[in-house]
Order: sequence, then structure tokens, then C-alpha cells
Amino acid sequence: MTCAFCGREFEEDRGQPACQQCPLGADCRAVRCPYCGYENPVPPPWLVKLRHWLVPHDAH
Amino acid sequence: MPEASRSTQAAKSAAGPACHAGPPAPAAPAGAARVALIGAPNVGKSALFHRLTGHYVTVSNYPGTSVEVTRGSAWLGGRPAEVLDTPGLYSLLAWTDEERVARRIVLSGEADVVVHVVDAKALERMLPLTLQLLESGRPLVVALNMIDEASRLGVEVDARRLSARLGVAVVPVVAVEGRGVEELGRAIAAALAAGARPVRILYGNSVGEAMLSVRERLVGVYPVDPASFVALLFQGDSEVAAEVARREPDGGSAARAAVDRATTALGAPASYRISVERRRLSGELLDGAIVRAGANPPRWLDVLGRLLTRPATGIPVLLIVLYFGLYAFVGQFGAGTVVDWLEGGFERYVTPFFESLFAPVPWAPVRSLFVGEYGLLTLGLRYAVAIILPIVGAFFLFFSVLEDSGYFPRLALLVDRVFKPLGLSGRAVIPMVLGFACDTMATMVTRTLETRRERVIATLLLALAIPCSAQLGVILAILSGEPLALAAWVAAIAGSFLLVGALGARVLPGAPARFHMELPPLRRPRAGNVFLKTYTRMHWYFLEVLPLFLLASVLLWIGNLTGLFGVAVSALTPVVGLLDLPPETAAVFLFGFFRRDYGAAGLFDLDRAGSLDAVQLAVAAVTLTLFVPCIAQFLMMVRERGVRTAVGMLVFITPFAFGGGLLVNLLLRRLAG
Ligand SMILES: Nc1nc2c(ncn2[C@@H]2O[C@H](COP(=O)(O)OP(=O)(O)OP(=O)(O)O)[C@@H](O)[C@H]2O)c(=O)[nH]1
Ligand SMILES: [Mg+2]
Ligand SMILES: [Zn+2]
Repeated sequence: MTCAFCGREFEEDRGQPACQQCPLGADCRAVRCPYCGYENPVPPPWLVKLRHWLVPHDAH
Repeated sequence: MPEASRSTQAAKSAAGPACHAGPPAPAAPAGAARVALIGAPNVGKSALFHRLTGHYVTVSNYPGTSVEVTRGSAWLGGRPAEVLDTPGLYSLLAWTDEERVARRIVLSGEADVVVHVVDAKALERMLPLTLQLLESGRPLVVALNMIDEASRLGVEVDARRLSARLGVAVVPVVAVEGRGVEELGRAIAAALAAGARPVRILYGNSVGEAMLSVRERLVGVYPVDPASFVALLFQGDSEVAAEVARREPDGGSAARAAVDRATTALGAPASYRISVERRRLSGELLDGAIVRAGANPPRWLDVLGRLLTRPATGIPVLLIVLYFGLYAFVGQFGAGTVVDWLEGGFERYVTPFFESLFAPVPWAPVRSLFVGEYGLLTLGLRYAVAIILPIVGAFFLFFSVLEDSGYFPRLALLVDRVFKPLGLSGRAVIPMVLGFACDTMATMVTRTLETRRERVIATLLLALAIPCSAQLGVILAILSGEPLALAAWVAAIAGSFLLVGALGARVLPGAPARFHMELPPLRRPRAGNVFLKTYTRMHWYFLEVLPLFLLASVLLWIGNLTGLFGVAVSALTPVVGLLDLPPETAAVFLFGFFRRDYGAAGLFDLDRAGSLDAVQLAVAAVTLTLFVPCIAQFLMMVRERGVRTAVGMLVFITPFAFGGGLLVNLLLRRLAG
């Protein structure tokens, strides 16, 4: 994925999921960029699929 | 060769089935040239590596690190060669261990030829690194990879023209299919035969001069041309500064002085000037060498991008963005129009419906748990659905538009100067911006700041002066009809931010943190992206908020039954009275400590009931904003900064918040006559 702050690309699993470290314990679906630390929201997979289905050529 | 060398089945996924574990790979023959594949992550370095090399590869840790580097042998243009596959690298300015290793392979001169692997689809973003590699003076070849995908997307690159402009071979390849790989091998052999290139510095806009003036001071012996160290010196890279100090006869002092002089001449901050100039030059080099069917990224975006980072133009734009985005859209539309509409629905239909549903329940306490003054359905659910949800929804929409456009890194650049006297760097914009979404998450993000000093100051400022989205929306909505109160609130919060930051920087000694980053391009936000991000954030927020709001209702219900809530409220009443606030506000303050947004919703309700005048609204808003974070944020502060620091902050913030409220009250009452 591409970090929304610094524009660098990283594998989603290389970014640290922020939720596991959060005392709120809520599933905020954010992944921290390994370069700049920005918390990037990760949309639920079904929604991403839906989008590709609706707008096939609209890559991010 | 590294000691820890071991032969393995290629560990990396991209390696593909071509490699087998075998007997220890034959060492590259003596006299084999070393070829390093360098490039951004995901551009196809490993794919190309496996095309260039045979079946035997070794994976070993780069000496002194835990970063893996893959080596393999090849025949290139009739010569034996050892090829290195390296971790992805965006720029010589390295942030991670992997990047540092890739950079060391370039700067140590251990590669006889560097192959810059680039993604033809995204050349604009890749060329700045090409420019940096050119500065090293080492033989260089550009592998223009993924031309298959590029042409599918309608992007055609004129490799010959680009090659002429850069002065190095540019070879189109499709690594996954092996297309162009032979030509690449020949180009590598030719570059090897040609040997070191004279370094040309192509930069204009006085950046080139500045870099040359420093380059001239570097007289030590370097494995590559020291021109490639110059930008890194400007960017304050400590590893490179140490190396220069080691290699210069005068310990690098002449170079340091030249950097300082040139920095002043450039007008700070030099590192931005350099990266902006690199991007401009990349655009110029590509002009006419790249053809895009349809959308060429519009030029005006580049111009706008530059305007956003200059104080004279960037600050007015920031104010306009805040006015329309926060005040008009989040405050007036989200927290005003939409909330009114939803609250109306609750008042007219939802609450009466629940009340009639529970009317037959004979036990009053049970009834009040669900539909009483602090009922689960009449308060908890209503606060979450009718007040908080529309406000944070509007906020996240605004936030996602800015995020998707690439505005945030430009904001970081813009405020870097403002932040400096506060002991912060532009990098602290990341937690500050995230703090408006959720202060708790932002507190966790402060750990990515470089120095402890910066981390402590950022944590304190987040707790003190950054309202979360719901709080901000509510406050903007209730103060929107009262310009004087709104001005007082803005002044009090901004003033506290600057004052406490400056004090923090005084109290905590330390060097100012350096900040530098390469800017991603500015772009038109896409509806699809914005929707996905807004939805994801709202979904998360709502799932987090709803159970907590319901829990709060239960706690309040218990507190009411046992009378504990009354005790706490009456303990706070004199304090609230000092601020000339009615006793009901004590409950709102209690809510506020539980959750910032819950307190905000309570304040909203009070305002609705018409219990507060303009001055009281301003005083309550200022105190609630400055007042300690919610429990979750406090726990995070303890976790990130330790108990002592966190409690210390609490002890500072509490009187500061009430003092701030008191001061605003006195001033406004006097002004009001
Ligand atoms: N269409 C196409 N895909 C390619 C090409 N080269 C590589 N890929 C694909 O791009 C993806 C990334 O390739 P890798 O070789 O792993 O990239 P890398 O540069 O080694 O990435 P890192 O090791 O993460 O830095 C893989 O899915 C490859 O199959 C190409 O020329 N055309
Ligand atoms: Mg790779
Ligand atoms: Zn990032």
C-alpha cells in the first residue's frame, strides 16, 4: 500500500498494525507506515473488492 | 565477503521457482565485476536479479546488520560478474535499516556498476534517486522496468532521449519476461568498460551552486565522488556527517562551515530546497521524454504544491482551508445542520418510541437505566448516533480529502519553522494531525519522533491543546454564533500551544530536532479513495465509541443509584462556580474526563438547553479543551512516557486548564463591560 503521508509504498504486513498496541483494544484498522509513522486506514477487504468491481480501472 | 554467508533457498517470495537450495554457491570468479541492483521497493529488482543470474544464489546478512542481501553470479557481455539484489531504497536519505544497507552499498563504492531499476509507470518519483546515484560518479545504468505495464496504461518513455539527457544508458526491460535483459547486460558491460564518469551537477535555482560550494571543501579520500555526500550533509544525516568527519583532514569543519553558509544563502530549509529542486529537475528531464495517453499530471498542481510550502502563500491557504473545512463544513454543516436534523428525529420519534416501550416496566430504576436522564437509549445511544457520528463523519471526510491530496507533508514543511522554537520539528505534524482524529492514537505515534525531548513535548501538547474531532466539531458549532467567544477560544488554545511548547523547549534541554522529507506529489483527491478512508475511520470510531458511551450510561446510572455521582458533582461544583459556570457543567466535566467526545456531547446538550451565555460557553469550551485528556489517552501517556512523566503532565495540565478558563472568564467579562 502507499502511505498517505509520505507517499512511500510498503507491504501492508510490514507496517505495524496499530490496534494491537492500543489500550482501547478497538479495531481501528490502521497500519503504521514503517518510514514516517503515519497511521494509514485500511479499508475492509469487501469494500475494496466492491470498489474494484464498480470502478475496475481506478487503481489507487 | 560476509562471514555469515549461507546458502539458502531464496528466502524472498519474489525469488520464484528458479532457485534451488544446492551446494554452497560457487564464489564469483576472481576479477568478477560487482553489479548492484538499486531501486525503490517493488520495482522488480528481484525479478531482474533472477533473470540476470543463474540458479545459484546466496542469501547472507550484510556485514554488521541483520539485513539480507542476495548475491548471484552472471555473465554479462562476455564477462563474469557478481550481481547483488538489495533492499528497496527511495532515496539516499535512509530511514530504515534496509535502506541504510542499500545506501551503504552505493556509497561504499563496493559496486563496480550500479543498476538503477525504475518503474516506468512512475518515473517522476524514481528520477530523484537517479540524480543522487549520478552524483556518486560510479558507472550507472538505468533499467527501465515494467514497460509492459506502462504501455498498458498508455505511458510511453523515450529511453533514448532520456539517456542522452542523463548521460547514462537507459534500457527498457520487462524483468518478469526477460525482455531487454540481454541488452541490459551489454549496457552494464559497456558502462564497466567506460569506468568512472565525471560528475555533473545539473541542479539550478542556486541549489547547484550551494552544493558545489560544499563539494569543493571535501578534499579527503572517498570511495565514490563526495558530491553524493553533499545533499546528505545538508539534510543533517548523522551517519554521513560522521563519515565526512573521519575522512577529512580537518575533521570536516570546513565542510560544515560551508554547509552552514550555503544554508543561510539558500534561505532555510536547505534540505527542502534540494528535494524540491530534484523534483523540478526530474520533471524537466522527463519533459518530452515521456508521453502519457490522457492525463499528464497537471502542471498547476506543481505550482500549487510549491505555494503551499511557502509561508507567505501557505499560511493564508491554510487559514482558508481551516475556515471552509473545519468551521463551515464540520462546525456549521456537520455539527449544526446534520445534528439538528438527527436530534429532531430522536426527539420526535426515537425517544418517545423507547419511552413507550419501557413504560410498562414497573421498576423505576430499571426504566431509568434505559430511558432515564442518563439512559442507555436516551443518552448513550443518542449521543453516539445523533451528535458524535455526524460530527466525526464530517470531520473524517474533510480529513480524508486533505490526506488524499498530499497536503499533509506540505503542512509539515510549512510549520517546520513555527515548530522549531517549540522544540519540535515538522515531523511532529504527523502526531498533531492524527491528534485531531484521535488523541490516544496520536500519543502512540509520538514514539516515531527522533528525540526524547520532542516526544515529551509532543505528548504534552497533544494532551493540552489538541482537541479531538468530536470536541472540535461541537465547540465550533456552539461557538459559531458568537464571534467573540470563538475568537477567545481560538486565541486561548493557540496561545497555550505556543506558550507551553516554548516553555517545554526551555525546560527540556536538547538540540532542535532536524526534519527532512521527500515530498510525494500533490494530486487531485479521488472520490473513491476519500470514501474508503472516511468510511473506514467512521466505522472504527463508531465501533469504539458506542460501547463506551453505553458503558458511561451504565456507570452514570450506578452512580446515580448509589449517590456517588452526586457526590462527585458537588465536589466539582465550587470549582465550576469559580469559573462562573452553572452547577450542571460539573457533570459535563466529569463526562469529559471519561471521554473527550462524551464531554463534548454533554456540552452540546447544555447549550441546547440554553443554560449558558456566550462567555460561559467560551469558558467551558476553553477549560474542556485544555483539561486532561480522557482516561484512554492518559493510559497511553503512561505507557509511552512512563508513570512519572504522565502524572507530572496531569499535575501541570489540571491547574493550567482551570487557570485558562478563569483568565478567559475575567477578560471576556471585562470586555463585555
Ligand atoms: N508486469 C510486470 N511486472 C513486474 C515486472 N518486474 C517485476 N514485476 C512484478 O513486480 C512485483 C515486484 O517485483 P520484485 O522483483 O519483488 O520487486 P523488488 O524491487 O525486488 O521489491 P523489493 O525487494 O520489495 O524492494 C512482482 O510481483 C513482480 O512479478 C515487469 O517488468 N512487468
Ligand atoms: Mg526484492
Ligand atoms: Zn509514511
